[in-house]
Amino acid sequence: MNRRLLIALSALSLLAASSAEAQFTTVVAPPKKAVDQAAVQEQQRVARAEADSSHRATMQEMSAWVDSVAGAPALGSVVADSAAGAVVMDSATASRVSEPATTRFQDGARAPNTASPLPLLLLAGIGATLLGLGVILTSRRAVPAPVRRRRAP
Amino acid sequence: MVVGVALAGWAGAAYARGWLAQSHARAEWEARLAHAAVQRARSYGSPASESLVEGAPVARLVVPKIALDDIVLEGVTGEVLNGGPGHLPGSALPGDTGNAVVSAHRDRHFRRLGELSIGDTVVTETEARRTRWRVVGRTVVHKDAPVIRRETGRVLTLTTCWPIGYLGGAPERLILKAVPADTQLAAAQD
Repeated sequence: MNRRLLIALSALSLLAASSAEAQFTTVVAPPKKAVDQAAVQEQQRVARAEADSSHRATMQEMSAWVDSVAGAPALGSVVADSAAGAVVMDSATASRVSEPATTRFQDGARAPNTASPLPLLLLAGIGATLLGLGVILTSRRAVPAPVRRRRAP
Repeated sequence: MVVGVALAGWAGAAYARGWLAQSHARAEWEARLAHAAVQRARSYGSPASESLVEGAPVARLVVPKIALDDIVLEGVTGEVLNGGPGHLPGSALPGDTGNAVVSAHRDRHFRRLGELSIGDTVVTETEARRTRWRVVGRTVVHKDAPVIRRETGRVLTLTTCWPIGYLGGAPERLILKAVPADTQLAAAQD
């Protein structure tokens, strides 16, 4: 009897699942809060001030100083700038930002990259070759010569 | 040992390619000079810097003090600088009005550039003219420092990595500035 009751309850719950789900998952939206105009205006004012270079000047220096201590590059680009209207990057920060090598003349460009890895590679190659030769010679000397046995008379 | 031989062989081959490229550039430069002489006779102008092909010889650079006599190639990419000093595209040709920028590796063509000091003589020769320069500035700057400037007069800028004779990366650049020898020194040091 209990088994039949259990099967019946299971079948009932399966059949009623969709309607039950609808019942339990319905969300009653709370009434909208009244918009706090003062808070919104304050938020917009802070955002504008943060994007303004004249406001950020001291913060930029502070940020560059912290980054220089931490050894991380700092980007100082400013958008929507009311004072300059262009990308502003202090010289100390600009010198640390990795840029592509100069391949064409441009006023204010850095000197072309003339560093070459060839001397280092050549030296490393010669060193590795000499090391390898040394290992080979040493291992040959370490092998004992075969001992010849005299035949008994 | 195999790795060592491969590394040394690769580096040696690169040096050999550079030497061959410089020899080829010298032959091509002499041919171009002859061709330019014919063009001048037919009253054609000299080629503009903008129209030069990368790797093409554009000038001859002579520095008597350090026994340098190399053909300057157009471009400053690694492949070009392996063959000789490179002329920065877009900069003036040596002798023309503006800033002519020539760069080279510190372990090859400009390995003795550090020996130059203010007052030394540099000579450049293009298809259009031969110019005698006097070094008026010598500075060592950070590799990211903005040193390439537009000039209103005739200026020659020679750059290479610094320190010379140092293996690995180059944190600085040696910058030599020269003006035509007939230019007043006071006017050049602006």
